[in-house]
Amino acid sequence: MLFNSLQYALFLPLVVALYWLSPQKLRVPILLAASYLFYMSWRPIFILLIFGLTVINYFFGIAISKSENKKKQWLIAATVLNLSTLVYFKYAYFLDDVARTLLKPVFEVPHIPFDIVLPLAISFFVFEFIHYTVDIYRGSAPVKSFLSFALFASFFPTQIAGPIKRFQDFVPQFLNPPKFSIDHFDKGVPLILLGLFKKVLIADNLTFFVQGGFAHPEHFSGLDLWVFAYAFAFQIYFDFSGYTDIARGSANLFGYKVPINFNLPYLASNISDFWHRWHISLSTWLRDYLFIPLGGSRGSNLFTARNLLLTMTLGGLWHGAATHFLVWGIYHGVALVLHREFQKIKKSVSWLAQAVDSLAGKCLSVFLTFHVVLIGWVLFRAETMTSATLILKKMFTLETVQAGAQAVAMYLPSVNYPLIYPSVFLLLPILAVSHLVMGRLDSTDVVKRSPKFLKAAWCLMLMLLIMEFSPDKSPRFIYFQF
Amino acid sequence: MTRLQEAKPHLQKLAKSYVAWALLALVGLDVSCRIADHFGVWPVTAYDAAHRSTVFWAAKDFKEEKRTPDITLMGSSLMMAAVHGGDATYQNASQKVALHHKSSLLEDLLRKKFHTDYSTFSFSLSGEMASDAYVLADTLLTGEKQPKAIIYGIAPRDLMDNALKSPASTEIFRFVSRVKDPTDVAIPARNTFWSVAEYGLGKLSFLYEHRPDFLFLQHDATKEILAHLGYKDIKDEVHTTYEIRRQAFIELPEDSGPNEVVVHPPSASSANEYSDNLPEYRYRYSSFKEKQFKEQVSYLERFLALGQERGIKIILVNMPLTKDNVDTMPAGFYDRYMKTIGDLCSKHQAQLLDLNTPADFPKRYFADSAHLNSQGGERFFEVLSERLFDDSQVASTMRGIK
Repeated sequence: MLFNSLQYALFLPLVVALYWLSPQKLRVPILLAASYLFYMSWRPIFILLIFGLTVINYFFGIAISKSENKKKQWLIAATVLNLSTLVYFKYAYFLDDVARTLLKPVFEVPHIPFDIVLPLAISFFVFEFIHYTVDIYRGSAPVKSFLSFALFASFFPTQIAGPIKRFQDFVPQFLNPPKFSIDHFDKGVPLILLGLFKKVLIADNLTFFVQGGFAHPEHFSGLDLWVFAYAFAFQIYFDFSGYTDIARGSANLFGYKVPINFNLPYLASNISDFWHRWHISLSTWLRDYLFIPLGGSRGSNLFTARNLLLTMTLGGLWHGAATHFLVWGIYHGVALVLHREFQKIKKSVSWLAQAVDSLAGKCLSVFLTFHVVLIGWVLFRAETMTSATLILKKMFTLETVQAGAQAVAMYLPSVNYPLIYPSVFLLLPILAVSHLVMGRLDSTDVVKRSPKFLKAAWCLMLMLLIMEFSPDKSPRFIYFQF
Repeated sequence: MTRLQEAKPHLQKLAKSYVAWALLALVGLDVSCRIADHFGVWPVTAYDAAHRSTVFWAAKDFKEEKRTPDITLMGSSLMMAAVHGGDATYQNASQKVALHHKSSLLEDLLRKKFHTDYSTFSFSLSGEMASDAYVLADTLLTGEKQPKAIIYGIAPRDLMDNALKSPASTEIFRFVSRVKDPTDVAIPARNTFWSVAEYGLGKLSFLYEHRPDFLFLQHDATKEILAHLGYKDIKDEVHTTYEIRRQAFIELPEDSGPNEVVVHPPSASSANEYSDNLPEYRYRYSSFKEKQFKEQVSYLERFLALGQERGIKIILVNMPLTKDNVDTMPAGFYDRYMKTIGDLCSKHQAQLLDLNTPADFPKRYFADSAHLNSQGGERFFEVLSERLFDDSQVASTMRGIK
């Protein structure tokens, strides 16, 4: 059941109504049942997986908490179980391929003889389970109520693509259940509308454009491919942040809060800042459960660099079992290491620090950071590593392309259908400016203080736009595949 | 405290909720637009479409046609290929599929045979199922635009196709539903709860039902802006590499510019061109869907009954196919299809001509396993006109038209 589907448009109000009309003690069970129903709407059989892991992790939590001297063993067992589930479903084919390639000279590794279907959302709920058991090991109290724990792991607004929640923040909301208030709707509905607007009006339309360029880079020049890369940067941002807005808005309708996942990432002034603004719940998870356990930055430069590289490489692989995701992770790891080194140089060279901290320096930093991220997006979006290499080569050599009898620097302006192709030259600058404007608005309380009729007009406009211009065939959210 | 007293603060808050205001405004806007449409001030007609499908081009042309054609040609791309290929060969000129909607060849052949002028219009459209033929006839071929006869080129795929989700899912059905809602089949033509729910939502909300109108306005405005920015032919011709178009079609609705699909007269290089599309047909026939077959047969019956009721003479033509194509069909399907269409024609006083005769159409007349090439198109209308003339009953029908 997609957030941008008619099914969800009927499912959500029904569950909201049932939830608020029911006695308080029934609300958590109702939400849990709705969440399982939501998960089963894809492939019912996988409910056994999420339910099974929930039961096992619940008991692991109790075991870790109660055990006096075997805490670590219980934690290892829990982590091995969670990770092996993830590896089996997500990486079995990839590892099989890698093993076959590496061992080819000495041994013929067989192909996996059966189909493995990747369960929806597995990367997200497995990470939540790991966080749960690790935090109990670190001293947090386990969740007493099984229903609350099961709902934490399966809460339908965040079930498929996060944000990755922390049980210490989320579960207490069940213990102090929210009371019915119209305010929940005034907070939730505009967020859902904004999310849908981002997804169906911006991201989906850009999808139709982006896939043409990434599927057929051979038809386009280097300059054209820069435009496709810019378009993908906005597509993935609006797609994923749109999803998160709908998730947060849906949770708000029940009176619950889930963490934010984005904070104007393209206004980041360095790559470290970017990771504090992009997919925040994942980057903080990687920090807390990978980077810090590896030793973090408590060691030599080389040691920290190793930890950064390892964390980002695994973070890249988390997105998918493919070489281009791996390379994307390594790329960000290298960028973070270089940024660290640059920060040290900056501290010791005063004129450099002054230049970087000036307004022009800040603008240049944002510009450069965006483009570093943009190159990363090419690795992320390309269908194969070969395709990514071709695209990047063309982008950096500004390779021309043959159009008719002559070589042209840009082929895109001659493409006039589908309309998104010519429109993208209007759309991308608007999106870039809107990102800047949003940054400005966020630093003030203009939105909060605006009169109600303006807010109502904003909602009405979003409702109308979504209703009238949603494409008939809306592509799935990008992060659903992870 | 009574329930009303408990609810009072919430009701007071509801009155102050800006989401509630927005919802209320949306309902008001919806009602206002419905009223505007009722009084004929709605700015968009059903013939204004953002995406220009083959049915859009044909319907637009048909609407603008001053005289009512004597004969309407109907059928799927099998008939469409014959119409365009036949005229391309006969006139030795390329035919733009989006703009060419008659068979000059058939008109001339009939003139020679019957010494009478017959005008034709082709509503043969790619993918046209029996259900599409029915909704087209029911909604567009009526009143002043009612033809005297319909020559409907039919083939087994038109009654059973694994690629079809539901009768209402085709572009033809969708387009025609904008012109006039085929209320008698609107719900049965949708085979999932969600598609019926979506239809219901459209009936409930004017704004939702008229989404294509808004899309048209948006496209129109965008084209206007782009034209000012120097995009040539933005309102008409398409200049896009085929691979990019094909990529877009995976996600976007059917859309083609007038210059995109062109059928050329035969040339030395195209004479032996034959593409193997059997994998596609294997998929289309892969599992016999009894329910779909019966459903499409019921639409064919409605179509024939409609002709009978309105006094439109219907001649069903079983289209030529290669033996390879027939061999990919599930066992017994072809015979059952022939018997079914034969029985229906007898029941509704329509006439059936079987042109799936390999002796008349050897493989050299085919562009693939199902579609005739340009020479095949010419051959098709030659054989068809002979059969129309030689079959005494059909010939009498033809003479009765004029």
